[in-house]
Parts: sequence; structure tokens; C-alpha cells
Amino acid sequence: MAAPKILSVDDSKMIQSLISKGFAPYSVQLCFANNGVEGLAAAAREMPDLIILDVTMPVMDGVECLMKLKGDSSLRDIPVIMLTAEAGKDNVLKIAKMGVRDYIVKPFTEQTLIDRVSRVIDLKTKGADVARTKSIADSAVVLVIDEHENINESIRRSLSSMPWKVIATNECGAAAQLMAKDQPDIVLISLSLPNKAALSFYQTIRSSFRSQALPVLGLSVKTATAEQAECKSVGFSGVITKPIDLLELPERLARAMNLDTSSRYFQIKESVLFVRIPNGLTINGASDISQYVEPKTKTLVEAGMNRVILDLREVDRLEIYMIKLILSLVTNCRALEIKFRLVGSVEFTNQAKAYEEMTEFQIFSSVEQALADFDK
Amino acid sequence: MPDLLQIIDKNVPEVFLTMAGLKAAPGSGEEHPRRPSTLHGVTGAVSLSGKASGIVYTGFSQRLAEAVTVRMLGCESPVEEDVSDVVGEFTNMITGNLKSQLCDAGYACQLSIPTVMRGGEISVVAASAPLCVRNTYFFEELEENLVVLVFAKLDA
Repeated sequence: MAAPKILSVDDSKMIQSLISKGFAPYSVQLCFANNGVEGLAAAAREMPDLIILDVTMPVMDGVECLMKLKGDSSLRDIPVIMLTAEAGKDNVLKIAKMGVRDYIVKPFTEQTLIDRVSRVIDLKTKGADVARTKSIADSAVVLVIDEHENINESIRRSLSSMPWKVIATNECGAAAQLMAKDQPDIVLISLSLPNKAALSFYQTIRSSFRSQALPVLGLSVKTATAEQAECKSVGFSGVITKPIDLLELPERLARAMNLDTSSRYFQIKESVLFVRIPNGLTINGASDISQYVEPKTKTLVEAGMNRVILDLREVDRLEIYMIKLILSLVTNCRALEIKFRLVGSVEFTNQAKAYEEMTEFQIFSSVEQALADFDK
Repeated sequence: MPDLLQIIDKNVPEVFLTMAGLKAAPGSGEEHPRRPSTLHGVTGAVSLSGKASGIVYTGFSQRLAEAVTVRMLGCESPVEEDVSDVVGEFTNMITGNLKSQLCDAGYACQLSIPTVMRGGEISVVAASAPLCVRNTYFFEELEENLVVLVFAKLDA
């Protein structure tokens, strides 16, 4: 399936640059237009899956462009997210009445942009479609290079539940020796090492055939955006900001190593496929699960089984992207004539009632009840 | 009557922190600064029209404007066009946030497209604006100041 296409209509190079950076980790096709007139032409030519439309632009502003889009029968169904610096009540109401899917108020973070866009189109991280040979249950070596021993130690602790070996040091000379002995599967390196050592070490890694494709992530204080931009521009696989989210770290590293993480979420027990949604599932985690849905359900049917339990008992906070994930699973089950049942906590069930998309589903409070219902 | 100084003292640091990860500390501010006011370097301007009319100026030193541009675009030596783009966009966000709060307070207004000026010393005056506020925002990380100046007239 082709990557979704996003058209950004904005006169600001700064905003276009933010959009490019924000979507860099995702498999999307980006195209740009500088004003409403160019935007209309680009929309007709590219037929994007989503338009991100700025309000204030020269030549033709976003409001006029939106009206023309909605007046064109071939373009009116393309979802539009408006970008505006004006968050006043009247402006928000005016935008809502014009039929936009959502709006983002400036200033905004990359995360806000990704969150809003992911409500409209399916975002998949790059490389998600590439066949995975290693699983999250396999051993791996993680090399950490940070001048602060407490960072090395906290990463070690965070990964202690994984079958991964963590080797850590505070300088690049020692790291090179460690690499010679124990080829790592991923490298985490502090961008604040003296004399831009992280950049030199990165070049050394890339110059060796053995480590040409090794994922390398920079470690950087959240506000040090200049060093983050520099490391991305030379080709680092990504940046983990400090303070490090230690709960999310294993998931991020698994993704960077392109590991098959499906065993965390999918399990077949007594001819039933259990899909477990963990509490605190991030948008990237949801994207991770959604890419396994089709192959897993297909394998289930091929093996002569036709029952799925979607286990949401751990979830105490329902997010939009989780609903999208649930709906995608349900659609797959229906297409393959698989019977499915949802199991959720009281908190989950109460929150689900607030969403129209969820009202058609019966949510069982225990797996036993759900299993028994299959036979009714 | 909305407190313009309070509004920009909240908006300016928020815009720079969210977009560029830069902390901007507001100075004490002036409610009725001496007119005309002078700005240096790269100046962004966005005007308001409607029940609230006036103009917002943002005065970046050349060094501050370039440093923010490098941070936003990830380029090493930004060209003049890039610097103008970034200054214009920041001015638009600051003024857009001000406009939102004026509209919510009953002073409906529209914004112009940002314009950017350059000069060793730019003198600005708005004789018909009874409200004038000015404040300086210090970026410790860059050791630079930004000046924000608002001339406004609010029609009941």
C-alpha cells in the first residue's frame, strides 16, 4: 500500500521545515504549496489524503482556499486540518463551521502535529513494512555512551527486563574497543560529549561496512535543539531527549532495531488469538500493533481458527488512536469472518460510551464471559 | 479592558519555548513608553484592524534573528529570506495570540500578513493609538534581547 500523501499549504518555510522534520520518522509522502492558489492546483494534481492548510497567507488565504476546496466536487472530501495563530472562540467556531476536520493553534509542537494528523490518516513508522528477522524476545547488544554515569545506569535499569545486554562507557575511545569485542545492535550516544565527539564517532561507525546500517540514536537535553538538528542532518537514526522516558525506552529501541514486537501484544491460546493492549499505549505503540493486525488475523484464518479476544483490561485511559486501532482490528476481523469480543475494565467501558464509534460494541468485563459468549 | 502587557508577557515566552525551545524572560515592561520608539536589526510587524486596531512590532537584533532561524531551519548560515520568514512567522504567532484574547474580550479584529523590515535604527510612532506597551525579553541561552512593542486602540 502506498504511503499516505500529505499536502502542506503554507507560505512559511519555517512551518514547512517543521512539518518535514515532524514526519521524517513516518512513512508519508509530503508535498508543499506556498499559498491558496498553488494549494488548489497541488490538491487537484496530487489528490492528497490530507491537507494541512495555513490561514494567513498572501495571494489567497487559507479560508478562501478552503471554501474553494469545499466547492469542488472532486476535492471536497479531502480532509483538511487548519493551522492558525488565532485561538479565539469566534475564530475556532468559524473554522469548525467551514467543514475542517481539525485545527492546530500556533505555537505547536511536533508531537501535537503528529497526534492530530494521526487521527485522520494512518501513520506508520518508516521501515514498518520491511520484513523483520529478529524478535523482541531475542538477545541484542545495546551500546550506551554518555558522560554521565547515572544516565548509563538508568538506561541499564530500564532495559533490565529485556533479553538485551547493555554495555556502557563515558567516552568514545572505550566505546570503539567495546564495539570491537561485542558488535552492538544499536548505539545510544550523548550529543553533549566534548568536542562534538558524537558526530566523529557516528562517522567512524558509518565508515565501517560492518556497522553501516547500525541504528544510532543521539541522547540530548530537550531544549538543545541545535545539536539535535545537527545530528539529524548528518543521518542519526533519531534522538532520545533527556530526561529520558524510561518506560517508553524499550519500545523505542525495539522500533529503532526493527524488531518484531508482536509477541508483546499477540498470543494464541486454545485456538483463540488474544490481542493485548497495554495501559499507557503510545501513538507509536498503536502504530506498531496496527501493522501486525492484518498478517496475524490472516495467519489465524489460514490455521483454521476464527476467534479473537481484544483484551483492553489494562487500559484506564482511552485515546483516539486506540479507537482507531480497535476499529482497524474489527474491520479486519469482519473482512475475514472472524468472531471477535472486546474485554475491558470498568474505566475503559465508561470512557468508550462517550465515543459514537464504540457504542455498537458489547464490552465484557472478563475473558471467561467473552469466551462463553462465542458459543452462544 | 484587556491588559496588553500581561497578554504579551504570557504569549511571547510561550511562543519561543514551544517553537524553538528557547526560554524568554520578560523585563518589567513599560505601559506608556516615550514615543517615538526605536528598534534595531530585523523588525517584524503585523497590524490589527477592527474593534481593536493597531500594530505589533517585534525587534530582533540581527544575531538573535539569525540564531532563531538556525534553530528553526537547521541550516548553518541562513540567507536573508529565511531570516525574514522566521521573524515574520514568530511575529504572526505573537500577534495571533494577542488577537485571540482581544476577540474573546469583545474586540473583534483581523490581522494583516506579517511584514519584515531591516535597519540600523527604525523609529516607530502611532500617534492615534492611546495604548502603547513595550517590553524586553531576555534569552539567557543566546544572551540576546527581543523587544516587543504594541500600539493599540480599542473601540467599545
